[in-house]
Amino acid sequence: MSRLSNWLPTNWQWFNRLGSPRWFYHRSERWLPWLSLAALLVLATGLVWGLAFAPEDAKQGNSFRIIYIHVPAAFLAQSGYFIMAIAGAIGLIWKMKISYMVMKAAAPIGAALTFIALFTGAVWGKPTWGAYWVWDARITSMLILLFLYAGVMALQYAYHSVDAASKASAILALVGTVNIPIINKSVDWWYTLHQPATIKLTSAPSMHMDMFMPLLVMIVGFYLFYAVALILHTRNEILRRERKTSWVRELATAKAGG
Amino acid sequence: MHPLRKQRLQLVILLVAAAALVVGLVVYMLRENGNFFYTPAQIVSGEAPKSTFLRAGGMVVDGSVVRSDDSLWVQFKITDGVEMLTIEHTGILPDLFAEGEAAIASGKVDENVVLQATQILAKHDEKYTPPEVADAMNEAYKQKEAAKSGSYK
Amino acid sequence: MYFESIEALLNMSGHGVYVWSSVAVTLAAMLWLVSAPLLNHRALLKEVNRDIQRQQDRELALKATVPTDNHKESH
Repeated sequence: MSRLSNWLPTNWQWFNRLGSPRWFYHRSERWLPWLSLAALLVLATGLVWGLAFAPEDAKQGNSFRIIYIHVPAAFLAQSGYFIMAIAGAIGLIWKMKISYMVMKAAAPIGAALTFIALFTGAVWGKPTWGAYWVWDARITSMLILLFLYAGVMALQYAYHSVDAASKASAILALVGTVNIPIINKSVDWWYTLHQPATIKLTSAPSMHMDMFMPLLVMIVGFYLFYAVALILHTRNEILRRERKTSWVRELATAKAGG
Repeated sequence: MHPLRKQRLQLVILLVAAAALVVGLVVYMLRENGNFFYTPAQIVSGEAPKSTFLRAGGMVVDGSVVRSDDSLWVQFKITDGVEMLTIEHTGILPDLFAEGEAAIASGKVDENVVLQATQILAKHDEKYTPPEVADAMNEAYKQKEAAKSGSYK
Repeated sequence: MYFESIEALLNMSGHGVYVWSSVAVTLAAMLWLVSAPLLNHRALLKEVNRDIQRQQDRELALKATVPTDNHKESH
């Protein structure tokens, strides 16, 4: 318990401290080994369980196992977008330095996860639907999500001033959140080949428990992985933007000496 | 040009290009799905154009699938509950293609009102079940049906 | 295990190509997502050190040349 209170200072302090890049850089160094270990263990468990131990699907056979990477990746591609947009909003409203760094860090991770979702979806689509790609609402809106991530990444380099780039990216990220409910609802609003959601918050999953448990493990694993990747990218962004400060210089000389 | 203005111009061009790309994709998607899509009834009644590329969707009629012994040729019927449309296709069918399941065929309708499909797509639902469970469920369903028909006698 | 042998696991009754290629691409992308920033982190620290070194060199050079050079230039 004393450890936990150490990590999360009481009251409002933590909010201000978390806003300090220096504090975040040092603290995250302690979180990283545990988070990485947890991510690795959970992902390995889920992957082995899903690929080798879960039963096959009665209709699709073994190709259904792609679900164990496709669904978590698509999940995190969308959650990651929210994280990016919220970080952008916090940056715009409270001018918190670190939130813009988190926003910038979230873009390439989200783009990679969206790519994974699209790629595995295409590979899955070929044997089951009969086509790698169909221009249906779900797939097209996911492609637009990829372009939104790419747009946020491109805007970071379109300006010389870091501040202007951050503001422009944050606005694009916020405008793009419209796409998220479209992705979610696309299977209900339009006639698509893509099946409706298997996991719903309001009702039991339309999946046998033996198949559902490893999927749940994989989703948790992807969240942990996302946290690790986001922290790593954010720490680099901190170094990049604070490289002129004395604490980064001290850190660099200490690392070079040690 | 002033560097700041140049930067802003580049930004505007980038945003316009991105917006155009998105609108283009959405329009393309809606055209792909909407304009060329016909029901079996529309095709059989002659409402759908002949010899132009179109899509037809419906349920694969039970017992209608005929396969060739020496090639990948296959013939089957789909229905929308009103009319039945015959489809012919040469190629590998998707795993989810089955009698009683939904399928979408794209191709051209010939003189005999047979859709010569170049692509067959199958739609899947969100349900996933292991084979043993599916078998058990089918078995239970059959027994229930048998019991029902038995009780009528 | 659901499969009877390792071969069956790899083959996945004909679907192995699809499943394993998806897994391979996913793992490659995930590996890149963590290895790229780790490599970058080291490069960034080195860059900061190089900056410090360059600054120190400049200061040293300036100190060494200040008495003579400054004198000449001022006239």
